[in-house]
Amino acid sequence: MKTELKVDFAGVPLKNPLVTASGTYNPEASGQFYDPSILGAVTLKGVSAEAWQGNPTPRIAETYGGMLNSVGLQNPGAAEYLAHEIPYMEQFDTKVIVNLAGHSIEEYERVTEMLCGADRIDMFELNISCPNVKEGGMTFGTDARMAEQVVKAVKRIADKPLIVKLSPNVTDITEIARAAVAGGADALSLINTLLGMRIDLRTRKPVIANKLGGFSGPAIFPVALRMVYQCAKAVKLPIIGVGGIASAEDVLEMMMAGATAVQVGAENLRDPYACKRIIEALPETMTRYGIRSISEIVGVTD
Amino acid sequence: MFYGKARLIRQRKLADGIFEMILDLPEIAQTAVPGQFVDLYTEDPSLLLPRPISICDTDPAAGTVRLIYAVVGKGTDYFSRLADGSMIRVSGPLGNGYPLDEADSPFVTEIYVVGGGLGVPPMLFLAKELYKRYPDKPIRIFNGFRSVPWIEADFEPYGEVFSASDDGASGFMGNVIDAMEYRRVMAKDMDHEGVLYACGPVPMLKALQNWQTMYELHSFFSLEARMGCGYGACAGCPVRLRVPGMDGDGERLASVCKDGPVFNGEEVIFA
Repeated sequence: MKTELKVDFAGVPLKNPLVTASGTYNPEASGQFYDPSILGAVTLKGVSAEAWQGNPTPRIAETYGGMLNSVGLQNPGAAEYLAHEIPYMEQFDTKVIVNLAGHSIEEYERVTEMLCGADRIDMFELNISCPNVKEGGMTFGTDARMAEQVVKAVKRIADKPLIVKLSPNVTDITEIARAAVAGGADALSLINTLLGMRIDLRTRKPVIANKLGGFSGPAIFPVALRMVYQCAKAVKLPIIGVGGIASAEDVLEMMMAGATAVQVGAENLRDPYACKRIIEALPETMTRYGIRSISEIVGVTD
Repeated sequence: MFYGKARLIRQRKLADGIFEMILDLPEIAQTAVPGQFVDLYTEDPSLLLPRPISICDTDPAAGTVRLIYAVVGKGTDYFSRLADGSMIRVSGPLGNGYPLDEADSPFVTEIYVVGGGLGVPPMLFLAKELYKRYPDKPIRIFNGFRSVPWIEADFEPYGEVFSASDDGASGFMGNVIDAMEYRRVMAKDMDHEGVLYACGPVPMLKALQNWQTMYELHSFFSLEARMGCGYGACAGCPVRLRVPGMDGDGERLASVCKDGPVFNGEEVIFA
């Protein structure tokens, strides 16, 4: 049986639903392993108007079936992206999503303005859910009123479809999803990392310098799936499902829950070939479950 | 870069919690340079991250790579239990490695190779390559251990070896810097211009940074870090570097895994 992997995501055609998640994939570094052109899309790491230094070290810790990170959106700033990261993508035949970071509505507006007009960018992903920055980030993603304001402000400027990346660190994620719809979002991606912590028994101190970090990896998959399912039922926007995806089966499950595309994050660290492996496993896995075109299963689960 | 499975030819315990493995890895044995490292991946689904281990030595003809590591957590414990003949997922060689040609200048008349604890193993590969390239320059090797050394004789063909141990169990009692200072004073050769290569715990590198400013030594430090990906994708292991400027020093961030692990010793800003 011939299988079809193409999906249409918010008007952007993707050759397959596999997208790399922000901050876990760098086209130059990760491109040493396989050609980025096999991917549905690449999400470039969160970028702010000016360079950010990120958080102190250690920033990374392992947890059972997952990890904590507290990178804090270290990035060289939008000017450097325009000079280097974005032109670098010219050589690849894949869609480009740029993740946008800010501490305030003004900063989110400024980074969006700076990147508008860059033709190589296909979509923006508004990061209102990073748990590792003190101001901005998750504070926008955990308050429906603020979420709507920042989405509205960025949407007014953005010249590309706007994906809003949601935080799971809320009581009711559908409330924030509805706020993003009200603000004019074109799509959602969820979930960002869950706030987590580990303590070193010898030093009696948190293992992460910033004390708390974002929890990701296969361990969070059921939480991500549940939230994608809830949001897909609550709003009409297309969704990128992200959180713990590590296999072709996980992709199909996430799509049945309501995702049109998926992002792979922490699994890129456990296996630098993760996305290639999953893309190659999809046709056979789809056949096993009687799926001809992958888009037909989006949201089929009641 | 190589990524794939390698056969564990043999593993042995060198001391409490210290293990040596010899891997059948021709791709890495033939391309690695001193100071580079490999990432070892477990097949335990509860463990997500690769473990960065420095390359202790290579045998390009035999196609083997030698690693020495300490059991410090679940991942290294997993590796220490692997039987000879097991297959291990490996990527590498990773990182930049030591700049050997810094010792090229005719003015460099002395080369220091300084290791502390788990920073000692990678210095073997370095000492061997330095000796091959500069057989006529004095190579002074200082190895610091907590107690009894678990690697020592291997260094002897490549230079003058000095050992130091915190408890005096072997060699000089004290740290490597005490040993280096003692040797300098005793030998009365204070005016050599030299290059210093080091790897070891942060307190040792900090002390070396102070020590080298008293002499005309150009230093290169290999840093240890908690890493995520190991190849420059995740921004998990930054180091702050000093950027000298006209109006005082500036700073920049570099990633230990990709831009390092070896950095100009004068530039590293220790937290």
